[in-house]
Amino acid sequence: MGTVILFFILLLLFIASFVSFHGRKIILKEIGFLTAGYLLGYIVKKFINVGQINSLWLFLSVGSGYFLMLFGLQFSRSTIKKISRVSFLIAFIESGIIFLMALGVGLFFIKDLNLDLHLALLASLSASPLLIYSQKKLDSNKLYALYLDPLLAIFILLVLTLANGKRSILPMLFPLYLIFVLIIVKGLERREQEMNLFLFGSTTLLAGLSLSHKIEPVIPPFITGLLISNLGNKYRRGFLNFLQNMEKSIYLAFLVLIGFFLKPVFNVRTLMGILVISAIRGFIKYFLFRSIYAMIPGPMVLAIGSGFYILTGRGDFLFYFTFYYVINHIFLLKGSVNEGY
Amino acid sequence: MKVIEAILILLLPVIILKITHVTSVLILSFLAAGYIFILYIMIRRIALNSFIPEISLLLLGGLILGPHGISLVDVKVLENMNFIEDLALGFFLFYASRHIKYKRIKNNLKEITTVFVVQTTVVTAVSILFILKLFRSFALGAVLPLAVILSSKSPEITLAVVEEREKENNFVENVLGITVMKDLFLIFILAIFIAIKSGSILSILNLLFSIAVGIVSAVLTMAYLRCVEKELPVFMTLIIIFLVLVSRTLGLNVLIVTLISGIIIENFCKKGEEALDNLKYSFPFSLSLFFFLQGASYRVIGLKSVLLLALLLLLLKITFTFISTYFTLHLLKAPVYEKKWLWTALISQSGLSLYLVNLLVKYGIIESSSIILTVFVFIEISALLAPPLFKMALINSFKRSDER
Repeated sequence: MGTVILFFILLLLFIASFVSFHGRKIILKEIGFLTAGYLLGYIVKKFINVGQINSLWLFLSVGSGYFLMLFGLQFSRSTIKKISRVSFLIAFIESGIIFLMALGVGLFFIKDLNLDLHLALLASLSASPLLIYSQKKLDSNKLYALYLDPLLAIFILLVLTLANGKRSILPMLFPLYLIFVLIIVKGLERREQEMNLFLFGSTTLLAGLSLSHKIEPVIPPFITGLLISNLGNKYRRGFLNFLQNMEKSIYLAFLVLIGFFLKPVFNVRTLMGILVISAIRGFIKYFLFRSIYAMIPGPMVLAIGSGFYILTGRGDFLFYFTFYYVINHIFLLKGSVNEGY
Repeated sequence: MKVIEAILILLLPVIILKITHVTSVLILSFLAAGYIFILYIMIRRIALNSFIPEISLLLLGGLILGPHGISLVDVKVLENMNFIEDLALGFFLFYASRHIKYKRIKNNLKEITTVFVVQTTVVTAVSILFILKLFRSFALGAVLPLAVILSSKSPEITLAVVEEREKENNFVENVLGITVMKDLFLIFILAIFIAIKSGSILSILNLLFSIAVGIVSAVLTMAYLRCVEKELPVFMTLIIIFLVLVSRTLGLNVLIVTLISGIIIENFCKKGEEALDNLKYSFPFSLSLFFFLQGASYRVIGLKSVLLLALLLLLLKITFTFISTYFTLHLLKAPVYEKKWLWTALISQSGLSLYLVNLLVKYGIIESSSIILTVFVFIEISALLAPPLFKMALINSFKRSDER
């Protein structure tokens, strides 16, 4: 009986927190959703065994794969042609500088090289494409430069994957199979539910294959998006519209899911390191782009971060990545969250 | 789509999975879920222009690819996905419960109640006589609960077939009304019986708790919906996850909790329909996962030894369900197509019946392994055969309504 009462008290608390977090002036929406997820996870972990909780990684991998597929879909040949060389150069230099800076600062503060490398990769990423797009003040070169940021991170991940000769590249070939499915299953672009099934089925299959071959689970979905964008041109628009319509809901659900798996680790030195990296990164971004919106990390950070978490199973990674994400969202307090989503 | 191409699509991942020698249960669960979603695209295409409903194909797919087939989804994966299966059931029933509208059922309450009472009584009575005749050594105290299970049906299969057609008419409303009324009543009868037989009120408490949790969660959700309108898809998703977790932890029946909660939200909340509609995107996933995993968990070992008996039981159920519903509806002066086809909706069995059998086994009311196997096979065959009949009946009923 006591358990039942405890459950309902916690449920009430959970709902109350969910309601109160909608008041954007009190607290950031992102933090609200993360906290609601954390609260849910806290309750659940008390009663459910670890094996069953781990089966929820499925949703985490689908969410992370979804963002990367969406990113890949945005790079059709016609889009790439529109982007000037200057944008590529700015993106490469800017994210490269931040990556090296974060790596250096991290080496001083964070003793774990693996964590440092991944944090540096995440620091080099920029805001979400939607947030960038809403900022008309930026000139097109700078806008595209921010847009291109994740390419460097994906490139580094790809190199790291290929450098490890023992890893099979089968998951990276699997997107070709998905293209084959797309070509054969005609009319998919006209059926919303089937498109939904295809996208989530693909990302789950790809995540599973990547994990079985110890590859970052975010690379194959990106390659799939890229291939669909360039080989299955008639599907591109349909998929892109569909994914963009769902982006907000998936983003918020993803935040709750990450909150669910969070395990706070209070290593002061590491947290200090993240604060210093965020401050220097923010300064560089503002200096280059003169916009606070350029300083905000997008959902891609969480997507790639949770990919690391699924691959390594290290709970502290997820906490530090989320801490970095939240800290950098403080800049948004000055503006409105709704401008992001 | 040509047959060879479809086979290629379906076989390629299976071959890849077989040659990659994955041993991690977690990864295999990922791969199985992804494959089910891709497979479901094909199933939808096949079901679209045929009388075979999606769920029959999903159950069959699960059976073929499951531990007793080519073992793409083995026993360990099934166990690991048990929680996901419950989640899928929760999402599926929450969304599908929007078809159960009290106001509409109220209009046909006389017809629904009469059919439910007559059909249940007749089928249960005939089942008792049949069991007593067939299994002479069978303990008398176990006959009634077994007969109750034989006359029960599956709300999830009925809802899945209705959902596939995406249409509603008088026939659908009557079917859903009878389904909900009958299943809740039978579960209640069974819980009372188990309580008397085992000398413990745990089974009744379990049922009452399941209903109470469903009601309380619905009330809380309705209170939330009154205050907040934003981010409803995320909120509804979380509520269902929470409900399933609560049900599993407390050993409650996920089906009853989610169905009751969904029905209350749909019928007593102004924004209920809108809130449930937000689960539209999750529906294909929950449906495919749940029925595929159900199919994969079907028992086929020793099937041959009891197949004939199970078929005989099914034939008996079909015959007496048809006779009882036909004559009841004839006396009530119901439309001809209802008289002819309503029985098709009352023979399918699946998750709920399996749950009830497990309950009887748990409390030691049925002990004979051959009887347990017979009942399981009976339920599995009816789950595979009944949905196509019901789908045909639905198509027929929609044609009649359109003609009118």
